[in-house]
This record gives sequence, structure tokens and C-alpha cells, in this order.
Amino acid sequence: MVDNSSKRKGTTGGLSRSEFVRRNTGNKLNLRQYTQRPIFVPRIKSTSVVKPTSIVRPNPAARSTSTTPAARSTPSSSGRNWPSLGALASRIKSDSARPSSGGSQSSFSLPAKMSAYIALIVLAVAGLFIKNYVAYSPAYSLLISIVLGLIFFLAVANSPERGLKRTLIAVAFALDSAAQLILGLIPESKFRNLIISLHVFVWIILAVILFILGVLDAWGAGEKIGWLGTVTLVTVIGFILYLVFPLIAQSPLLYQDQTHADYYTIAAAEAEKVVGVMGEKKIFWSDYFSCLFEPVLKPQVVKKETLDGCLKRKERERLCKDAKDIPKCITDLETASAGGNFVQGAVSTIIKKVTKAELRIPEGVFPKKTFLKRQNYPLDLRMENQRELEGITGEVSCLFEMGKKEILGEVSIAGENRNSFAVAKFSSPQAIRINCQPSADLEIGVYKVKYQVILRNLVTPSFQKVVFASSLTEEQIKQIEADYFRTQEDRGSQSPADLAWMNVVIGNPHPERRGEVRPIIISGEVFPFVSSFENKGRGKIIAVNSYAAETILEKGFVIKQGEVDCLQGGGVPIFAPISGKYVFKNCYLQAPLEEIIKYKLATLKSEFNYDYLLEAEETTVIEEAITEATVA
Amino acid sequence: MNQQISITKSIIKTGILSVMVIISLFMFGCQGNVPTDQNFRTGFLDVAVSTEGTNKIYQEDQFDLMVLIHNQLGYDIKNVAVSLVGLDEAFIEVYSPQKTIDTLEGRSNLFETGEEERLLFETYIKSLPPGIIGEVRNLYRVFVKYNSEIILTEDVCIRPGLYTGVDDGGCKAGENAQKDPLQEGKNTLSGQGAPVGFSEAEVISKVGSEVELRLKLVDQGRGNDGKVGTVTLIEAALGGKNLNCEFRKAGGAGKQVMFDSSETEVSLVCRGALGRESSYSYVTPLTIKLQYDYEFSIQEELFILN
Repeated sequence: MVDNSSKRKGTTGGLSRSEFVRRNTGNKLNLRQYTQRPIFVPRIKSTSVVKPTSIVRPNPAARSTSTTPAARSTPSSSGRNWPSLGALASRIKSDSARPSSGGSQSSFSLPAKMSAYIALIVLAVAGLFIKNYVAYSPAYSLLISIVLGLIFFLAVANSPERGLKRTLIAVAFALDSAAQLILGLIPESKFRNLIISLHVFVWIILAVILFILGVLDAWGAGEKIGWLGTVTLVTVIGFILYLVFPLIAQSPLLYQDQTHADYYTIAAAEAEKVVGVMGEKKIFWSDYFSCLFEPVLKPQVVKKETLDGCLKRKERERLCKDAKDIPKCITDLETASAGGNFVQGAVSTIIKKVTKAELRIPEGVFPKKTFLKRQNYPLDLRMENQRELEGITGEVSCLFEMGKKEILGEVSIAGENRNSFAVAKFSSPQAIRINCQPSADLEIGVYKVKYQVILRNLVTPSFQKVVFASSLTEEQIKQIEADYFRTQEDRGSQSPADLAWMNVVIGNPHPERRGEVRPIIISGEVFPFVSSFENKGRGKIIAVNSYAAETILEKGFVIKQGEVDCLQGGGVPIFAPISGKYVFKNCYLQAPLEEIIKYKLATLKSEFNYDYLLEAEETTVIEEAITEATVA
Repeated sequence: MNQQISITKSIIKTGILSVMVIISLFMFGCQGNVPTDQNFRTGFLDVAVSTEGTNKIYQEDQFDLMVLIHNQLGYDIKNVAVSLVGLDEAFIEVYSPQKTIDTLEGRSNLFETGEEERLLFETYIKSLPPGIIGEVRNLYRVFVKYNSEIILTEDVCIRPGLYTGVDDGGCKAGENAQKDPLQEGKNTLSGQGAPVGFSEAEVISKVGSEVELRLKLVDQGRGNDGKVGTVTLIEAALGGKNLNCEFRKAGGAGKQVMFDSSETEVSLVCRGALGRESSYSYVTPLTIKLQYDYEFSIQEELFILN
């Protein structure tokens, strides 16, 4: 939904910067779509949000024909008699007040008009926007859900199969409330994203289901659904097909030259993934209900444990059930859970070459005061690509802002009218001169010139020293720690001093140093894996295009529990541009079984590819030109 | 005639001189092979290990790492296993990280230096990740594990008179004796030419013809970098008669003992009957033979150059 709306706005005038940031927190795709166009575009006023009451237009004709049941049962030949929700409600009231003429319930169970169902869809969308506007504040969200529930309830009160529809509404309301409750109690649950999706879209899904039921009712009663109903139905079906069968849009012959021999393998892998996820969900729900009732059934065992704490305890118990030393295993995992921030990063002691960029306003060249209405406003991008990475590109946009007035800038790079560039594969520092010229004359006043540069396909590796062993004595562990893990930096993840880091840390929590890891892995053991993104520059990480814990994957570690894309993935949605540290993946790995002489040291490499946003702004004063006339 | 006589004399003198030079050359030259009476089975000694050659190597290159192992103990060492541990496998591939030697002869009067052997570990230095300036330092360890033995041979002064009322003042060291015999009470020992050895012996004469020996076995090797494992008693005899010995430590006693990680000494208690009945002090030989396994490591470093 967000995507579509952003597209619409883009074509009708674009987004304000604040709106851009807000919208792009949800989906990387948005950012791509957005950044392919000029980044700064005139602001859209917040009052343009569609209000639900302004969508459904009462039709006087419909009101006049809705006075008798007979009249209501007659299908509208034109299909334009759209009753408002208020009208529907008043109609229901009047129906219930009046004695039934036919004495039969079915005489009142007329198919509701399509317009009412479409109105419900619009209402659900409006509800989504309003919830978004109030930032999903729990109290307001609940209030909006209650209002939506009541309206939906009234809208289907007189429709056929209203029992089923009422049940659906009740289920939707329950799911919405439960999702809100779970998000409140367990904000970092494993199914967080799924629950959020449910919370956000449940009313729209319900409205669409009711609409489809309404269509089926209408067709069953031999009625026409009208042109608006047809359009909505086609849109709904089209959207579902778009979601379910994205490949339909492609040419069926596009990949016909490729072998089909691996179809079974792919299908089997997908099935395995689904079974895995289902299994995990089953375990989650089983734990969930067990934890809900545990305080009642075992009050002496469970004293002051929260639901989240209980779920985590059950997860730890399950993970440790095959361990040799179960209490130790549980303690280790508890410490790991408590020290979730142990993913510490540090500047690499071996990789000294960096990939860096910064924006600088060229002093003395930038016109801080001018009487010219249009001229170039320069910006320097200083780029260091010391590791000579290939494929780094950049996109530039600029904007002139005075109060609420915004004027887009036209970008030229190195004297050419273009807003994108490729970063050369030179290890020596590069300076790229960017000029921004307003697309319209500036007025007299003080403008902020705002620049945005997005660097794409930056790649930063990270390294962690890990010792593997078949078994170790305490003495050996002490010796290993003295040799290889003296400092906190030694124990953590190390990356070159780039703009951003992907900190990857494996190993059990250190028994003596709280919040730190001891990267010593005994073969066959289960241990935590945590990764995080950390912004180290002055800008923001706006997209993670791909990431891979390369050496861990090569060594054949198995994800024992947690997200299947824990070690490798791509196109990760970022919910907000990362300006600090963001714990990304958290799972449990099992080390492969192998016989090791004493122990062995390995530096594990991980790498991620990301897009980075740099911003700069400077003030310019446009003064009145002194002409002969003004002097006179 | 006189001239002939003088020539003959000169030839004789030169001959004598040459013979003397040759004899002296033989004498000095063969000195090394002359058996000495140095005792190599004293003190606390270690096997020496070192790496040879450069420790700065370039990436993407074959590198042969040479390890020299030198047996400086007073005993042979057996089942020697030498391992390279801790070379970062991200940067270095070691084809065979462990090598073994059956036996390495120890120092003796016939072979004063002890045997040494060089082991070659073949490695390949992988390419370093891009972005490195300078060198990558890699600490690693050479671990050495072996089996060996220690033999304690001392003379013990037995003083049965302590209980019979006859005090003859104890034993006197013989003129040819290299050291004094162990006396009644506590005696300090200085090791037996290995990292593990006896450091103290207490002789306790008992009523009748019994004697008790309390010995302290210590690990005085390389501290945290060396560790004795299992020690087994092979034989113990006093005056040709077997002693009944047991290692004593918390948690048990027996003919075999395992040093715990923090343990550096254990006690060996031996009891036995005296070889002869006498009211006067006398000296009798004590022999105790132990087998042990030992492991130690040395830390080395390697620099990989870009």
C-alpha cells in the first residue's frame, strides 16, 4: 500500500523530505523507486490524507428507495444507488423497529449493495492511514479498531450470512487486539514482522473478504454488481494475482532454455523451508499457550516470570535438551540472551585501507550571499576507495528550501548535466565537484540548500578470530585467551574504518566478562550467532543489498534455531535508516563435528553490500540586485 | 761424514717431532669421544625446541617451516609428537600439522650433546584479503609431546641404631663417593635430569627392620607452557629388595598418578624391609624408576607480508 501511494504522489508532485524518510523506512524498494527520481520534490500537505467520510457519497435516490424492504430487494438497474454507511445504519435501525411483514428472516436478508463493501475497503484503508498518522499509538490504535469493528458490524448487520460475517469481524478484531497485545508484551518476538503485518493489514484483508462475499451474494441472488463493483473486483483479483503469481507477468518463454532438472530440488528446498517455519510456529504457539497457563498451573514454579521470559526459557530448554551439561548450556544461553549487545565491533588491525566519503561545502566558492536568481551552488564529494572496489555508484539530488517553499535543484557533475556517477577504482582520494542549480528563480530571502548523495554498492568486510577445538581443558582455554583474545577488540568483530560495519560475532558468552563473547567453539556444540549493522559515518545506512557470513557458510555450520536467512541474504528491508547500531540477526548455530589436534585458529570473514546516504546543507541569502533604478 | 751424521740427526729429530705432533693431534682430536664421568641425570632439564629460518613470508607462496627439536634430557624420549597449532587457517594452510619421531636419544657419557632432529612442515601462504597495509602477525605454538623416564639412584644411610640405643653418628661418605648418602630425616634432591623429578626425600627408619621413604615428585618444567601427564611407577628397590610404593594425593593412592592442571607436585611413599640386620649404620643403594608423559609448547610468530 505504501508503495502505491508513494508512486501516486511521485507522479503528482513527489514527496517532501520528511515524508520520504518516513515512507522509506518500510521498504527498500520504495527507496529505489524514489531515488530514481529527483529526491526533493514539493511538499504535499498533510491535509491531503483521504478522510473516510469524504469517500462514500450518499445518494438521495438510494435513500428514497430504501424505505421499504421490497424496494431494497430490487436490484438497481443503474448500479449507482450507493447507500452511505449512515444510511445503512439508519436503515437497519428502521428495519429492526418495524415488524416483519413477511414474517420470514430471509425477506430482510438482502444482498448489501456493493458500494457498502467498497466503502468498507476505503474505510479500512483510511483506518490504516489514521493509525499510521497516530504512529500506531496503542490507545489510539485500539480506539480506531473498535470504531472500525462497530462500523463493519453495522454494515453487515442485514446482509445474507451475517453470522459468518460477524464471526469474521470478531476474529479480525481479536487478531488485531492480540497482535497489539503481543507487540506490547514481546516487542522483539521472532514473529514480530508477521504480527506487525497482521496488525496493519487485518482490516483491509477483512474488507476485501467481505467484498468478495458480497459479490458472491449478489451473483447468487442474480444481481449485478455495478461498474464500481466490477472495477473493484478486478483490482482486487489483479492485486492478489500480482502478489501470488509474480512470475505470471513474465514471458512464459523467458526461461525456457534453462534446464528444468532442478525443479524438484527447488520445490523440495522450499517445502523444507515451509515445514521448518511451520515447525517453528508450532513450537512457538505451543510454548505460548504453555507459558500463558503456567502461572496458574504451577504457581510455585513460576513466580514473577514474564511471558517473554517464559518463552525464552522454554526455547533455551529445548536447545539444550541434547547437551552433555544441560545446566551449563542453559546458563550460557541465558548469559547470551542477557548480553544481546555483545556484538561489539572494532577497527580492524589488519585491514587498514578504507572506503570513505564525505561532503564538503567548498569555502569561498559557495555563494553565501548573491543577487543572482539562478546560479550553481557547489558541493565537493571526497571519496576514498582505497581497496579499489568496483561497482560503487552515486546519485545526487538537491533542493532549495525557504520556509515551506521548496524548489528542486538541477544537478551537474563535473560539468555534465547528470545526477549519477560511478566511483573510479583508484586507491588515491578522489574529489567530485557537484553543482546544484535551482530549477526556478529563487526569490529574495534566505534559502537552505540541501544536498543528498546516495552511494550504492559499498562493500565492507568484517573479521572475527575464532578458535575451534574438539575439547579443551580450562588450562588450554586460559592459554588460548592469553594468546589470541587478550582484549575486547580481539574477541569481537573487526572491520576497516569504513562508513558502516556489519559486526558478526559467534561464540558463547564469556563466563567472567559480562556482555562479551568468548569465541571458542567446541565441535558439535550449539552457540549463538549475532550480527548487527553499525553506522560509523556521518550519514545513514539506507539499504542492505546483500550480506553473507562467508567462512561460516563454507565451514558447514548448521542453523539450529532462528531465522533461515541468518547467515546469508539480500535485499533486506530496513525499517528506518540506520544512524547508530542495529541488531540484525540472531540465531543458534551448530558447529560441524570434526577431530581437531589441540585447537585451530581461523579468522572468519563476513561481508555486506549496502547503500549509504550522505547529506549536507548550507544557507544562501538572495539579495535584491542593485540596479540603477533602485539607486535612483 | 760429520755432515752425514748431522743429516741423519736432523731426520731423526724431524721424525720424532712429526710423531709427537701426530700423537698430540690424535690426543686432542679424540678428546670428544673420550667417555666422561659427568652425571647427566641431575638437575631439572627440558627438551629444547625452536624454529629455524625466516619468520617473514610473502602471501601466495609455499613456505617450509623448520622445527628443531633437541633432546637435552638425561634419558631418551619416545613417541615424540610435534604439532603446529594456531596458524590462522584463513591465511595459512598447513598440509600436515603433526609429525612424529619414534625415539630421540638423550644425553649420556657416550653422547654428551643429546640427539636433535629437524622437522619440516610444508605450508602454503594464502592470499591476504584486500586492504592490508604492511604485514599480518600470526602467533602460533609448537606443541611437543613425548614419553620418557626418570631414574633416581641414591645411597641411603640406614641407622637402625636409633632404636637399639647404639648411636654411631651415622654414615660417613666413602672417599670415592661423589655425594653424601641420604641421611635419616629430610634430604634435598636436585632433580634427575628431566623436567619432572624428585626434589626431596625423607628417610624414616622404623622399629625393627623396616624403613619408610617419603619422596616429593615435582614438575619443574616450563611452568604454564609445560605439563606432566600420567606418571607410572616402574620399579623401586632399596638394597636390592623391592619397596612397596604408592603415590599419595587427595582422592586416592596407587602406582600411577595424574598431575592435575594446577598441580606441580605429588608424594611418593615407599615402605620396605631392610636388606640386612645390623645394629650399626650402613649405606645401601636406592633405585626408583618412573615413566611419564610430558607435553609443552613454545610460542612463535609469523609475519605474512603483502
